Amino acid sequence: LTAGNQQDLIDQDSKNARTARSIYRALAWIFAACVLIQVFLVGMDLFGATHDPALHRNFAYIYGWLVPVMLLLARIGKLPSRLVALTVLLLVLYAVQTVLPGFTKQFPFLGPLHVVNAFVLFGLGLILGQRAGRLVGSPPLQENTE
Amino acid sequence: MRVIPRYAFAATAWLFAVGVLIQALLAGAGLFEWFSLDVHRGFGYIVAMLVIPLGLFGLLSWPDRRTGVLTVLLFGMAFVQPTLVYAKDTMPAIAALHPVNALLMFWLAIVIGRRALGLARASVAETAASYAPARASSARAQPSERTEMSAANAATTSTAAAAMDASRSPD
Repeated sequence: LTAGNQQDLIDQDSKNARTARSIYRALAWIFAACVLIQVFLVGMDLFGATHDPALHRNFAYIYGWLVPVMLLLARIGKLPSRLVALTVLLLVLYAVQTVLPGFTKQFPFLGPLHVVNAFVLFGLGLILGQRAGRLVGSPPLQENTE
Repeated sequence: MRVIPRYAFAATAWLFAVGVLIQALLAGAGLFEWFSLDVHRGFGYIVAMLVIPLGLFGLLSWPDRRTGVLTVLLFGMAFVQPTLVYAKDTMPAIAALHPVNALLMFWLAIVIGRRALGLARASVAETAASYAPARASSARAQPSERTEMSAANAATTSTAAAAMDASRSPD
């Protein structure tokens, strides 16, 4: 590879990383918004606006795929290791969130954790969106060590 | 002078966020029939009451405009929160905003807590900076006093050394 080609590759890599960061940021905000909608849907069911609990359950599976995509984008965008770790945490908490209601019959104390975990997921989504937003304009290789 | 109210402001905001989280836990406990939903109702009023000291400390700490606006917003949201439930029979879709509002209040309280803590730390730094030059100038202003003091110290030290030598000598 000539020096020019090498530079082109670096530029392309940098461009891809920046695009990935922008998409990551958007997905983090969308995820937080979806948690908010999800909470609204459960409220609709609880307060009798709808009588279909499946709406709340099914909506969770609609936006759940955002988190693995975010993890992939975090790697492509060469995000700091702390952000990648937080994205992994988001994935784990989301997985826990989906299985928690299934165990509430045997272990009723796990039920409240489903609600609290929703708060944590919402907060984490916002934190990731904010932090990724700060990194969108910055060069990826220098930002890799936070 | 604003350090203490600012720390109190931050502490109240964090306490409010923790209160909302506990409140969510209690709501979950009620919904999943672990224990009665009345506990959630009762505790909700205690958490809502926290906005009064929050507003008070907010006023005393004289925050920046944005923090002030956010505090007023949180105050309003905490006030609206219990009333949303009363719309259950007439407008259930409005009542459904009750958990959404809780989620937003939780986040807002954290934002206010972080901002208030930043303000408190800035006040501490400001106070330290205002004392530091005053101390330095007072030290610079009286060099003759310092010389006299060091001379006195030296004399004391030499006297003490002489006394020790005398005590060590056999005769």
